[in-house]
Amino acid sequence: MPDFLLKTDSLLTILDILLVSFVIYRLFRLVRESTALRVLLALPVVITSYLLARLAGLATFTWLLDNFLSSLLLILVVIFQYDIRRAMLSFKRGSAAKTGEHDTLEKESAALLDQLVVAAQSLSERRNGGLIVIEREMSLDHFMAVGTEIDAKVTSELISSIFLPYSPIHDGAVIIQHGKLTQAGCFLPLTHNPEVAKELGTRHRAAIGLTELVDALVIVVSEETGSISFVSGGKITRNLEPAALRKILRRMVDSRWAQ
Amino acid sequence: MNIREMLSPALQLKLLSLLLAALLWLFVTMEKSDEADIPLQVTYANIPAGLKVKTGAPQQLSVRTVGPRILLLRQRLKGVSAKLDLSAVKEGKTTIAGFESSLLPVSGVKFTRVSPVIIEILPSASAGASNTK
Repeated sequence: MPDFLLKTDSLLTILDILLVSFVIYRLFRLVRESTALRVLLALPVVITSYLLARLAGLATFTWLLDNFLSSLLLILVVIFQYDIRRAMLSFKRGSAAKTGEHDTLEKESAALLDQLVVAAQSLSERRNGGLIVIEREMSLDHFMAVGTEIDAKVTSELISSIFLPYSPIHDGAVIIQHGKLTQAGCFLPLTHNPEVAKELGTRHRAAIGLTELVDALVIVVSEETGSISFVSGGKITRNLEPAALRKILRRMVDSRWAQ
Repeated sequence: MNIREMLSPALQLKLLSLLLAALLWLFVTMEKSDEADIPLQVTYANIPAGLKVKTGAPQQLSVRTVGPRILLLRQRLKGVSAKLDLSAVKEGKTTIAGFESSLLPVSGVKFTRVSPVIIEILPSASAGASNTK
């Protein structure tokens, strides 16, 4: 056994490894569902290869991996930028929740969510397709360039009328920001996830695609079946009853985002 | 709840995290600069005909190496050897010094000291002639 392994303080080493392991585990949990996990899985291979290459004296391969590892932090930040941002926002959200600063807004927020649920139910009953996006901490400005500006109070009637088949802005999504319906007819990025069910159409794929990029919540009403789905973090929950949708929205939508 | 149940929800994830953390620790540890004594293997060359180096002459010395631990490990695996030219020695006690400058470390490693600094050998007359040890 190399001397340096005997020199190290065992307890401190174990503590060190466990701490780093915990940080990595939290990071894994953060990115588990995304393709970024595959990048993270390659790291043990890269590190092992580097050590073996250095030990064997493979100068060029060592140089290549050395430069890669030197820039690793920067590379990881670029790859995981959305996940890091999401994590930071979740810390912020957690601390804000503890202060209780938004407690007084609960009622108004609940009324807004009720309007959304009623709108989804109405669209479902009429078999009108609908795509309702609720902005949270991450801005949706990038996805609003194509849409039509509305800036109105959120009511179920307004949403239902936007998604009427003969409405000029029924194609695309409506966006709700700070408790107001600000935009309609917005086009969202489609998901490239091959694991998404084949029977899901463009509307559902757009909802999944958007939530893979930002922390917004999306309600989708299928034009074909009238079923209501809820999408968050790239995950879709299908065939929801209005009561179940209300329950999810209340759990997921912080009152601050609705104001 | 036993340990197995506690780990089961994300056992693979936890093990992977532990593996990666251990590898990172190894990476950081191996890159740290350190010093180590590595055996120095000495061979004698060009022993004049009619002389032999008595057994008991120092065959193995040590050299103090400084550098990243991974390179020290490489140096240890590769070994350090010195070939001493005894063409000028005569019968009787002879001291050899200053040969450490002829040692070639692997790139990134420095030799700081050879121990002992002076080698004493005692060539004596032999019945058979030999050019090498």
